[in-house]
Amino acid sequence: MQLVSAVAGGIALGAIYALVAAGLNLVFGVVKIINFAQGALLTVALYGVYVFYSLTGADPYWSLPVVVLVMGGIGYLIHRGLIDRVLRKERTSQLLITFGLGMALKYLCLAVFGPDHLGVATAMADRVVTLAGVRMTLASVIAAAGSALAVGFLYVFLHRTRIGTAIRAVAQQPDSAELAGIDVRRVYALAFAVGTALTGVAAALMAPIYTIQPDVGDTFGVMAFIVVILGGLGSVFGAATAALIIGIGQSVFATLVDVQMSTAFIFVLFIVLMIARPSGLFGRTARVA
Amino acid sequence: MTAATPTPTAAAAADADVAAAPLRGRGLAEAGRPVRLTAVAVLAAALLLPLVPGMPFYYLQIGVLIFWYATLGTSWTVAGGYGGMHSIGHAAFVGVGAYTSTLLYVDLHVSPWLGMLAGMALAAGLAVLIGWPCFRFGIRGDYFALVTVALGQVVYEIANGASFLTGGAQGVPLPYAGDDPLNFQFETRTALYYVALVMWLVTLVVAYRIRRSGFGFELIAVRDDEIAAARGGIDVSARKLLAFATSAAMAAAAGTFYAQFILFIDPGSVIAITLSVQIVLMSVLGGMNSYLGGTVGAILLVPLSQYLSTALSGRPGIDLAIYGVVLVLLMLYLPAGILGTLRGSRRWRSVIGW
Amino acid sequence: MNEALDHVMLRTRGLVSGYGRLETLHGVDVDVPAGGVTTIIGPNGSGKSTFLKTVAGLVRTWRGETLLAGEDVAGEPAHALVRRGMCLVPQGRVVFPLLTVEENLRMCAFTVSSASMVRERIAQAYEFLPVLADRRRQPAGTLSGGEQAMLAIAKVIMLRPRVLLLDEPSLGLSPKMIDLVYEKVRALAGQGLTTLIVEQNVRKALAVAGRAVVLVLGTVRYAGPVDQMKAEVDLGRLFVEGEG
Repeated sequence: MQLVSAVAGGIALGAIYALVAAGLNLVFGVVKIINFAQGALLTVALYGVYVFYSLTGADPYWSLPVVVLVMGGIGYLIHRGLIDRVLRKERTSQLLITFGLGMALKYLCLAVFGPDHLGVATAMADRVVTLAGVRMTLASVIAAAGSALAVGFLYVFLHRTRIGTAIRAVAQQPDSAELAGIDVRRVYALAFAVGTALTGVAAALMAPIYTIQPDVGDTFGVMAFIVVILGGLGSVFGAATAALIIGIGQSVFATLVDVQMSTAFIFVLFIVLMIARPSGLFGRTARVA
Repeated sequence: MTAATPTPTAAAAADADVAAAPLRGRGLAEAGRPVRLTAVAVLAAALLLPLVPGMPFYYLQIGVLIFWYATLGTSWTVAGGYGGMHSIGHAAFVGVGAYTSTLLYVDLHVSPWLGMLAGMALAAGLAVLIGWPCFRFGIRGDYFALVTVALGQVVYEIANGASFLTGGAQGVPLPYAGDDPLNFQFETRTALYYVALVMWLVTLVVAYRIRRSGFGFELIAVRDDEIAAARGGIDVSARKLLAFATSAAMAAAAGTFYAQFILFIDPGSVIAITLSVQIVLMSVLGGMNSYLGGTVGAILLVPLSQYLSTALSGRPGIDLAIYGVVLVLLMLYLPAGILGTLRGSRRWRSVIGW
Repeated sequence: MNEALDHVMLRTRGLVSGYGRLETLHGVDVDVPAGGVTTIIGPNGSGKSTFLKTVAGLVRTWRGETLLAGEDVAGEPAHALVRRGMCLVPQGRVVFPLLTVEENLRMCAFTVSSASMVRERIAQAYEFLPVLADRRRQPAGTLSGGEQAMLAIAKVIMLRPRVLLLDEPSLGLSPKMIDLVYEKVRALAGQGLTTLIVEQNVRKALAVAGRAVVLVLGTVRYAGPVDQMKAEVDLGRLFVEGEG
């Protein structure tokens, strides 16, 4: 029984990892940079949810459209102002600029909101439901289902729309895309904006479950990398599978062995797997699918 | 020779020359009198600073922090600058050094001097453990950086979680033993200042010697083009491992010093990813290709951060936010760092060891 | 201007460009008359591909002008030039390997906003290149080399450009496929499409072209009608010289 609820909790956790990772993956697949600021952007989005909640008093779930739009805008500006300007420079510059950005954002949150743990309460989902014999808060069910839905939407967007197909085309052959009349630089900015907007979705979904403080995005950010690398860069489904495996693994380890060490367990696992299978668990080629 | 390889222009040739040039000549020895005089003056000032009557302790403390961060920045330069291994988990090695000597001292009463050596050995061992498979399987660039991020997190979580050994998040206080130089404790803080100065000087000299050695030359060849270096008969993995382990050991020594200076360690102060990024920033701001880069970075950033955290004491975090902004601006406008602006001049290049 | 502009679809004057700091083209003047086939030939590494990429906006123009129907378009990005009617089919792998054949065609018509027109052109492309119709749901990366070459040519049907720039269309293809590609090129040219072909396969290129430009080490050695060139330029010697 304990194991079953650990697995259920792991699925909810894994779904959120998958969502944060999807944004990272999109940016890596299209723009070909690793966005080390993704975790800090999630933190910013969570504080965005908090600000919305304290200003309006409305249920935090209502913040979703606002936070998604604001984060998308922030992502667009970050790309245009920073990333686009280092794309032709050395990898070092690209690596460190997103790192510096993440650090600036995180500590700006600390400076503005202080180190306290803040919480938002949801009246809508503040009850316990029983699903297949497992008791879970409605909020975590919503987080899991909402994340799965958002990843599904992303997949449909990439595969069934003209712009989405253009994004995939750019990911595969930027020069050919440019020669087909696609403005590659704009597609890059769009991909970065969408990738960042996904942290807004994640924030609105997870805010009722997690307390908000400046470090909150760090673990999710690093976990998202691990998910992306293990799932195979660019593969939406590979990443989703990896996210579930990691979420469940972490949750089960926390239940059966030790809560404190569950994160360390995942990191060790990651280092081992990274070295053993640098191309990810599921394949050799980087792709956007 | 096909026509596909047109003659490079003079400008391109000069550029390639800057990138790949070994250190020619006698380096510092031929730097010329003004440079040597300046170096001697700076060193003398550093040596005499604590002897100034009425020197406030606060300034000495800033001096110690400059030496500390300069040591860390220089250690990073050896791996990240010379070897192109952009570690964003160097705090893991600082933490290994700090925790090794401290736990040996607190639990087993081993002198921290010995503990420092043990910590350096452990950190070097950890670097080899991580580096060996990475370099063997060709994990470099962004992927290597990611592995080091994960490494930093693992060490952090272990220090945080294994509280039976490390005291967990509560940290470990070190007993103050009064004047006990054999146990790395001193009655006056002036003595610690000199210890820090020596630590920094030793690191600097080691980094300088490495740069001018055959090993340093091979390391830079590996950084610029691994495949060509391997074809030239250089054992790429071995060179990278040696540099990474050396760098880790230096960082571990600085970790022990921190523990003896503050007399308290916890995961947040010696292993946090924030420290890892600060270490990178010191080297990158100064110029990560130069053995002097970490020092220049520390001289600029430590006072700035001290000033900011005092001036904005109501806003914790703003100083670190500004570090982040500095890193972003550097990458946009000055990716080669401050010393990098001097690399065009042949004479300066031998001084800064670009 | 000594030639009437309405006869010249594409004209470059003093075009200089290159990669990094390396100058590859040292002031190239080329005229491509409207409605005809022009070819650029020359030894390996003379800057033929660079010339096409510069004209198409993929490589930055350092100096000089590129006139498309009399308008200077040098410095415009490639995607904007596509909207002006410039179409470069680059050499090698040109398709989006993980998109299906039909998605590839749709992407080639990215600048066409009318959905019904896109549908119509896809039908025309399948009619002109029937081999693609059988493969429409297949990822383009799984096509054979010849089929990929057909897909590359289909871009012309989708875009309806004013100028077609073809970079080494015969590269890596079997003789049979080369014949087929040139048959399609000739058919398109027959409909009045202005075409500029860069080719290693000199015989093939000269068979379809009315005008030739000989480019050696980034400099134009000859420009004029093909039949006159054969009298004026010793091609055999030129290539040996260029290789040496």
